Amino acid sequence: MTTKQEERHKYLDLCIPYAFGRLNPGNRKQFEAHLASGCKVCKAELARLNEALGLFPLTLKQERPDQRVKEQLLARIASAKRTPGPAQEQPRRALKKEAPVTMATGPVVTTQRPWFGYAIAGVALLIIVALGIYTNDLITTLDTQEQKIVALQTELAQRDEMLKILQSQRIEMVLMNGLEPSPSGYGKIIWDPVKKTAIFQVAQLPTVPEDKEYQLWVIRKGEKIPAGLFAVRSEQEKESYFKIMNLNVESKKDFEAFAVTLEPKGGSPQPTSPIYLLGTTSLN
Amino acid sequence: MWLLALLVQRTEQNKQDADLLKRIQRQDQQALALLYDRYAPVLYPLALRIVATGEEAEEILQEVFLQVWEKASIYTPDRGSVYSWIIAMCRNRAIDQLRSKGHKKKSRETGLEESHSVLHTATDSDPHDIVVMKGYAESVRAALKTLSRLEVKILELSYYEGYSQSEIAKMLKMPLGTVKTKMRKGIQKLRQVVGKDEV
Repeated sequence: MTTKQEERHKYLDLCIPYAFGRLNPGNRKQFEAHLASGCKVCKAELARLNEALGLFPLTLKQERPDQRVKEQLLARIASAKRTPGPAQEQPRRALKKEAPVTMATGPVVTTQRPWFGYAIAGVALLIIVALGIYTNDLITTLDTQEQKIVALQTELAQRDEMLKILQSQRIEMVLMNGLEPSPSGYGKIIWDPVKKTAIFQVAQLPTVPEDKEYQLWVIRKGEKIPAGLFAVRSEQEKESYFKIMNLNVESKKDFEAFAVTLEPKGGSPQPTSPIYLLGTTSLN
Repeated sequence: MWLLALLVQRTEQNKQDADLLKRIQRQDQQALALLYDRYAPVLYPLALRIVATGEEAEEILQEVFLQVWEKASIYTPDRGSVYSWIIAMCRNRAIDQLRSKGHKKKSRETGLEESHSVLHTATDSDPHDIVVMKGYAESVRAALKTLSRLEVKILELSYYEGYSQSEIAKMLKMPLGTVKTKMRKGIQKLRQVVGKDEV
């Protein structure tokens, strides 16, 4: 995957938290800059999300507020309309009036004042810029720390889930081997047939573009049943990718194999690519 | 066909809303009053669902329409319809209010024990009720009823309580990835109702 694609993927992931108003200031600023840069993909995704989320409150029982609320609103608008707009000129005039009187003649005073004012303004501007840079650095640091915390929390939660599966009274395991499109690939599935949760791990599968995902299949009596989706997006994930997933299978006796294929994002009802990984229950 | 009829109706409504917004940009109070009449029956219960009292919900409703009045010119259709823009403003303002007054803590202490999800307890609407976007309201309810209670709860915690995905994962003691997956599933159901979902 190219760096540009990774960037775009990263921003797409931010759409949901952004739509829910839950991006931290650093990420929000970055995402809004990205939107402002004109990314049509993210704008379209955000528009679709907003449309979808906008429907959620329709499940609430609708209720018209008291008529008084509307009357007050219209009164507030009417009064806002009457409020005169430009009031910013007054402070400037006040500054002129408060110009200090010196012993020097008029023209000299008028040439010294602007210089002093510009110097003060320049220093103030430098301070503001320095503070801005410092604040930005702080936000970036906080952002990084927050991401690390979330990553650690996720990892910890995943380890807990793994431990729970491994501690189950009964577990089953199937090893998967790479076939032609990915001969060096391998993986394993360890699952609790009672709780139907599984540890799914694969390695050495090629990274996939944004519009593709790997799909896991359970092959039962020759029928291929979709069992989950995953995507290997980075070199790190290529080294080893794992996830905790729900897996609706019981004993190994009930089906013949697990298979992994590469499908369009969102999955397919039936496989459309060759098998990348295959794990037959008879060999495990 | 039914979904198509809904889409046609929605497109017409979006066009009318866009026209109203253009009139609001020209300081037409009557247009604002019409937009208010159209959506206040959805926005008021939304604000009320998030904040504690009717007074706060009324104030939020007024603030939202004041914002529409003042910022009509910055609305851009490429970020969604006028309806979704107003709904998002209302929801965000109410969540801000919730956070600023520390109501969140209260809901964290009690909210999880209450599983009276509107989606699972709501009965069909009384025919005499006001129903804005009636077709959508019914299909959203129907679509979300196919979700598990947990999936609906995750959506509600995020949308109405303002919790982040990692906060929800912590509260419900489940992996962040699971929360994300369940939330995506819920959003996908809503997207299917909109009729634009590509997944």
